[in-house]
Amino acid sequence: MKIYIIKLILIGIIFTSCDNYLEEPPIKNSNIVIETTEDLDNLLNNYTNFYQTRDVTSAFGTDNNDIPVEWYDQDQGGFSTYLPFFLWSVDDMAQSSYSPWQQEYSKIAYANTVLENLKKVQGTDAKKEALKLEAHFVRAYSNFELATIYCLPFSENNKNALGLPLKKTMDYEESLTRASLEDTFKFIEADLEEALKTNKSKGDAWRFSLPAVNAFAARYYLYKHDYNKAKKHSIEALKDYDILVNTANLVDPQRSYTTYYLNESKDTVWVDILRPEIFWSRTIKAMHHEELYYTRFLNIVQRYIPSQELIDLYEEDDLRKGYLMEYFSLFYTDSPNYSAFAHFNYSQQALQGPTTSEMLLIKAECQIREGSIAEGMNTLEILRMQRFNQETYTTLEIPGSILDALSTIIDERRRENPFVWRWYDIKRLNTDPDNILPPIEITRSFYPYTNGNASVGSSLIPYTLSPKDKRFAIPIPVSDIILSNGEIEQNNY
Amino acid sequence: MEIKLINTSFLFRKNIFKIIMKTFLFLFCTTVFSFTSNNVFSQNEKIKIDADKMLTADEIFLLITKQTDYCFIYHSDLFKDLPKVSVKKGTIKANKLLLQTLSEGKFIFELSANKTIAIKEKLKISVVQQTITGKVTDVDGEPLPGVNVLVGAKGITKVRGVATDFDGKYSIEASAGEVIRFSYVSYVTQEFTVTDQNIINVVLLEDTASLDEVVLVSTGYQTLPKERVAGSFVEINEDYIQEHPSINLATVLDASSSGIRTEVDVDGNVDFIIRGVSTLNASSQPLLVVDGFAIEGGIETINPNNVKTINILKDAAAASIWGARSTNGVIVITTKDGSTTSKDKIDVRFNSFITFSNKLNMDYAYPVASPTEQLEWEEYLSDISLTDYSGALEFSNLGINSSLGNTLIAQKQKGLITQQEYNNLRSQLLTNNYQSDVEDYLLNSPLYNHHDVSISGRSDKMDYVLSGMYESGEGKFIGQEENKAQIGFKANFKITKWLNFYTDLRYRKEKNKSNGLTLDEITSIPSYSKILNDDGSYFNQVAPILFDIAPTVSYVFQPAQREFFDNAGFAYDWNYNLLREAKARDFNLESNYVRIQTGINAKLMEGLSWDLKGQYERRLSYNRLLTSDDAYAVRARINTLTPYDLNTNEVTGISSYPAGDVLQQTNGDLRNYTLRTQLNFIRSFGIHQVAAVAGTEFSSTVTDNKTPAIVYGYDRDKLTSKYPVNGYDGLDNFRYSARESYTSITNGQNFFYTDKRLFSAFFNGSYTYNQKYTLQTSIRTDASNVIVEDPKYRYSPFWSVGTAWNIKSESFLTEVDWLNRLKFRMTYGETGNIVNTASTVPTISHTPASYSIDYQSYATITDYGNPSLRWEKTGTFNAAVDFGILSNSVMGTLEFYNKHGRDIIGRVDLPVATGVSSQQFNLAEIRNYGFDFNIKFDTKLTSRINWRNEFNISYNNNEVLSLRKGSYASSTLIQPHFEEGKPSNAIFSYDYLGMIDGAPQIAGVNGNNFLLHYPPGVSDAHSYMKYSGSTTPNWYGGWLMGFNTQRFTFLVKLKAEFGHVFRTPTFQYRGPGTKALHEDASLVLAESDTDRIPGLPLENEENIYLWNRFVPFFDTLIADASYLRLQEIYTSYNLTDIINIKGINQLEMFLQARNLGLLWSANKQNLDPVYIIEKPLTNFTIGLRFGI
Repeated sequence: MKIYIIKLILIGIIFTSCDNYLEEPPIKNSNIVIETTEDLDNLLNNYTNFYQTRDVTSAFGTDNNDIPVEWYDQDQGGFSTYLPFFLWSVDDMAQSSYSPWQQEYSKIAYANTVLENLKKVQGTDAKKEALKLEAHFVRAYSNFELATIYCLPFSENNKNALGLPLKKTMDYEESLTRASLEDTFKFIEADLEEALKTNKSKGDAWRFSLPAVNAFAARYYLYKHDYNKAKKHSIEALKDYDILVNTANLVDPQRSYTTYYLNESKDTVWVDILRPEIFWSRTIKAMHHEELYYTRFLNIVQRYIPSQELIDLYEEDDLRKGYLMEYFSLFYTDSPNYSAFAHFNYSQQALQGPTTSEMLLIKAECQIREGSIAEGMNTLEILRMQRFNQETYTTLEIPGSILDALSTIIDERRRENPFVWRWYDIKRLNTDPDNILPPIEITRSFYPYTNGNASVGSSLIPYTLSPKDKRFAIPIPVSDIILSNGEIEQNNY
Repeated sequence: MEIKLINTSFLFRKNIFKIIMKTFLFLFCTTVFSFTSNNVFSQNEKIKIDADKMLTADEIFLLITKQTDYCFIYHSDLFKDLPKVSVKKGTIKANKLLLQTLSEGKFIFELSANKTIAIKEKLKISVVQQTITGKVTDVDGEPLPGVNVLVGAKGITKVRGVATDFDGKYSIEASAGEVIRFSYVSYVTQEFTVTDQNIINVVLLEDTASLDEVVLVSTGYQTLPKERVAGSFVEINEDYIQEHPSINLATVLDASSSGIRTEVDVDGNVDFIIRGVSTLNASSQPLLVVDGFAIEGGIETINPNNVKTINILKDAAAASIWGARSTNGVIVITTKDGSTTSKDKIDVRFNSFITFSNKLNMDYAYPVASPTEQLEWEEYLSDISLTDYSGALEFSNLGINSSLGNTLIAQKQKGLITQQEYNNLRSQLLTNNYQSDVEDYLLNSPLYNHHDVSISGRSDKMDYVLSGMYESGEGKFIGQEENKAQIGFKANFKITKWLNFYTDLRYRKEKNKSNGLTLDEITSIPSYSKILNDDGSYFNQVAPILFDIAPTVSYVFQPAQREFFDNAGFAYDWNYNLLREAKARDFNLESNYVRIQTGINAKLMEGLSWDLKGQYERRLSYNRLLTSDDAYAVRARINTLTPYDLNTNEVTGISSYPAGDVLQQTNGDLRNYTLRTQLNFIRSFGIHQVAAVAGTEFSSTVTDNKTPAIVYGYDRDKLTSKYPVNGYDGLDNFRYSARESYTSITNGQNFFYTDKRLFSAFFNGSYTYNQKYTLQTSIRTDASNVIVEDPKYRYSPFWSVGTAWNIKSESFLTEVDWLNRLKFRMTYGETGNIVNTASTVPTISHTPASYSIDYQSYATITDYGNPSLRWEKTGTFNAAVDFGILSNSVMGTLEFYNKHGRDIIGRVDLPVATGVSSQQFNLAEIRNYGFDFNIKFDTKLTSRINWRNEFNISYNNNEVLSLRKGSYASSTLIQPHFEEGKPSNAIFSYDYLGMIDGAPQIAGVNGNNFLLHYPPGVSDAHSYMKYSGSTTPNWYGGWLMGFNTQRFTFLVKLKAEFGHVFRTPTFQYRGPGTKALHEDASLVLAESDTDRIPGLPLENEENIYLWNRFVPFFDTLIADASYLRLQEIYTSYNLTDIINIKGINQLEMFLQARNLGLLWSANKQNLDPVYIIEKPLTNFTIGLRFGI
């Protein structure tokens, strides 16, 4: 009998202690359950996840860009991934893995993970509130990125065009049906308005702040042709933060690489001692760049190539020409393997996040659109002063018409950030209800291109992207169309 | 009318016999069947049997009388209806033999003083109903509990019955004239006709004749006679293990049983795949159970000579009792205990053997281009200007690896040497024979010694086995040494009548020493190299890129540069030599493993007992890699991080990298505990037999590995070390390096911790009616510590049902003489699988702050989690027939199965708009179906020679039925992978079209061919690649056959696999490098096989370095991997009765040869498809077994 009792006791103990027993996590290093606001804060601090975007279209799809056939002949493999975007080949863009679709949705997933876990984690309410606002900002920023790439430009006519699948949770069953363009922008705007509730001042630029939200809002409303709001937010942003860096100061007398080369007699010559602080800190230096409100970079491997049209836009004493186009690139190499454009001695990064220069340009543009041409030109001069050789620079004359003033601003935008803003600009300008500037059409000549293959050596044929071209919404990666079983609808062409 | 009287010279007549019989009947009437050792033969009377055979009763009596001084009197046709008796080789007690012989009849024995025994048929005497009591024991007098005692009319048709209690006692009502039958598994059933006696004490004898049939199978939780199970079990017994002497139990199981495929690597490590792969992510290895506990220590911790039986559980009914971990099958090992030792006797067994083999066959392992061909290729590349050597001697090219030939060509190009000098140096190079140098200086003839001893004994109160093992050996490369020692003690104590205590303690220690040489390292050096110069100094070889050697160095300087540097004043020279490298390395692995299993078993009531048992396992391992500063890997690092001025060619400071030896260490700690409580019930109610177990179990397995920081400047005598002067990642390491590229000094610190926990509750029950029909069921739930939102999702039910029909026991078959066994079995059940890596909630990992990321810490989402994730489930259907014919000389089993994994966790591609490109879902489906067939037949060729055969063959069809994955990159398709509609391990190849316009081309998309540069940029490579088949065979089997006589055994084991493919290796198209080129170089240089592999590149082919990404995966290199292999030859000679030494009861010598190579293979190149690079060495074992 005793044994029965002992046994019953034992079994009893075993069953009651079971759930606690199984709470022990299976792996300690890599599978940590989110438990505190610090965990969530660390997720948003993951700059490696947030600071880059692979927006090939902005870098290759505009009139600022070119792939000269002579260069292509030399390095076909190196350029092949960019050709679909350069030539707006719908099928090939849809097949390309260089589409930023995945990257931006991954950022949205981080934001949604933060939002979903806020209630479960330990931490102060203030911290939770701050994380919530930042997550909304991250989501708004990425959705806007996606909308400018994969959707038609925002306009009254396009309101019912295809927008984005709006991911609001991490539920894998959540509908991926594309919302209308109008609803998509409403969703972005709702997130943006939420983020504007923050009062966080600018700290590390890869984390959000009120100036960063304002700066993004200015960009957002400019795209929506809401020039009042765009102006208001650009002013708000500049009020809190308006540092400009003179381009001359960006030019570093010591280059960051090349330690030796062969001279004519083929002997090794040292040209420079490598500077380790630059080697290590290129990314960090870029992330801390003082003109950035919010750290995002366009990241295309070493191949930003200006069109002749763009090069012609630069005046001789424009420091940006030397800094962006020559010093680190054309001047240095004649090989297409290297970039013709670079920020921060680092040939892959172009500033994608909002900057003080962008705020000045938005403010100037909105002022001009209001009719305050002189005010607008004054705002522009603040920027130009830092971009030209100060010894030779003379200010621009005040243009006589809004059209001329606006053209000046748009040209300045092309010179200031040629491989990031242009796609966005073309799309918004071609649908501008004010209808001041003539529509922009992009034309190129290149080899015939089919099925991902360019017929090298054939005679060149023309390629045109007309102002109302459906291809201003680039196709969604075909893999997602397939994997969603058609729930995600492809753009119509 | 005749009477047989053996061993006497006269014949009794029938009537005389009757008279005598009547006389004796009077004397013996009170104990009709008092058949014990005291009243027929004396205890020690033994009969020797020279070989396994079938004998008639008459022949047995002849045998007994020949070997003893007894004689028998019986009627000449008294035994004519008795079946033949199968006897086994060896010695048997005369009593036992006699009983066995007469078990089918009803006889009375009468012994007279002159050792004459009279035998007669029993008479029937009618008496009234009475209570009969008695005790049932075995020959040693041990009570047998649970013996079925049935009473009924003759033929036992309408019956009532009881079972004996723990003391072997029974009590039952019976009338005179009725028949009383005592039956017990694996014992000879005895029947008596009830007379007037009311005490019947019975001695049951072990059923030697039917031992092959009545096999006990162990699920690890319970042991049941095989006749009463419906599941699919494979048994491997002690004899089989003895006939496959090995230092590794896993090799014993190689090709041993149907349904179990073994993949043995070149070093003898074995992977088991039972009935195909049925999971994508979880382990596909079967669960290993030793004496009732799943062990973590691995099959190598088990000494083969300690093993009594191995049961492999293949289907759901057999395995579901193990629940979550049983989807891939279960291997249940039962170790020997002392219970079978003779009482009050100490049994000692020794087993010693030596295994040796030749040196590695370099011709096979290193099928390289001849020195001339190697140089011709290098010269060709230079001739067509594909290789610009002009900069090869420059400081800027320090990082480029180059062979001696390339360096020579470069020197010529730069004008450092004349054409004449070049020719001289070239022909000098061609006289070298690296291959024979390797054999002389780097290879070793492996030799292993194995010794083990076991001492067992038994008394009334306890039984025990004490075992010890020692093994030492030398490996195939110089400096490889292994030492293993193991001791074990297993004992069972009867504390009281109802309480048993058992314990099993094992300790194992292993020490391995090596200098880290690998075949890969050896074959990286071209054939025109050598190892020692004529004066015995090290030949300066150009080094390959060194992987996996501490600390990793990827740069080797070329000779010309070395000379340049030699004058600079670096602390160390820059020369490389593999032998020197090996000697500078001292790698040690030491492990201590302990396993304790212990428990109590209490008998609660008749048939019901309770177990409480636990297991504790721990393995502490210490891995020490010591690389001295004589190793290039260390020297080059120290030199490289030395401040140096190139303009003056002078060292200007002290290296950031501490001078001296480098010590890397890893401490591994694996610990497991398991605690189980279990109720067992086994009882017969008349013709109803019930067996059941139920219980709960906890287990936890912790892996806790710690790798401390690498120790630099280590002094093994003074036990001192140095810290890198500029820190591990310090900027100054970068600033002051000879190569001016950033080099960090690896810290190497690493910690790893996992804890796999499991809670289980289980029930398994079976019911057998009249020994004909069996129903069986099991239910189990498992819960593991996977991360879930709600704890209820941790639990999952697993279950099985099964039925068995023993048709042979049906009345319509009992008379069919040639059929001895026929049984149908059918089971269905669901088993599961744990995927510990999957999570239902999001999990993250933290990256600590460090210099490179601006002193900011951050976190990354490692898994977004999938709240709908559940256990994997696999449903298995199994149908089988077991048969035995011609006195069971032919026995076999044919089984069909269908394993359908429906909720297999697979990584499913998701639209990336979800934020996740793939996530684990229970969506994949894998089906395995096939059959397993094995047959065993023994045939007497002559009266002395027995021909043995054990043949097994299996067919497995494996298919991934569903796996939502969108697109596959070519890099995935060329590797064995899973995809929908294909078997597991499917591979695809590039469709090689041959040389078009002088360049090799591959079929691309939409009829566009492409060159060997970059694959077409389509997301799914299926559009242009060709399916080549699976690397897993459909058909596999083994055949053990041979002969044995009384003393001599000769066995051959064959293994075969069919229906799969492999890639044959070929020439590596490459620019200047150091690696030896494949022997296909001759075909490439002659351009004679361009339909299969490309020929020479054209002059403008700048992408030759990309060819290697394609060529090895050409469809033209796919070959049929089917083969038939001669696995083993075993022969033994039993000297026990030749060398008649008192006290020695076993003496046997054996010889074995293993890995004898292929008898046939489907591929034309004569390659071994399993061992493409390195064949396992043919080894020979010679050994001795003896017992006292």
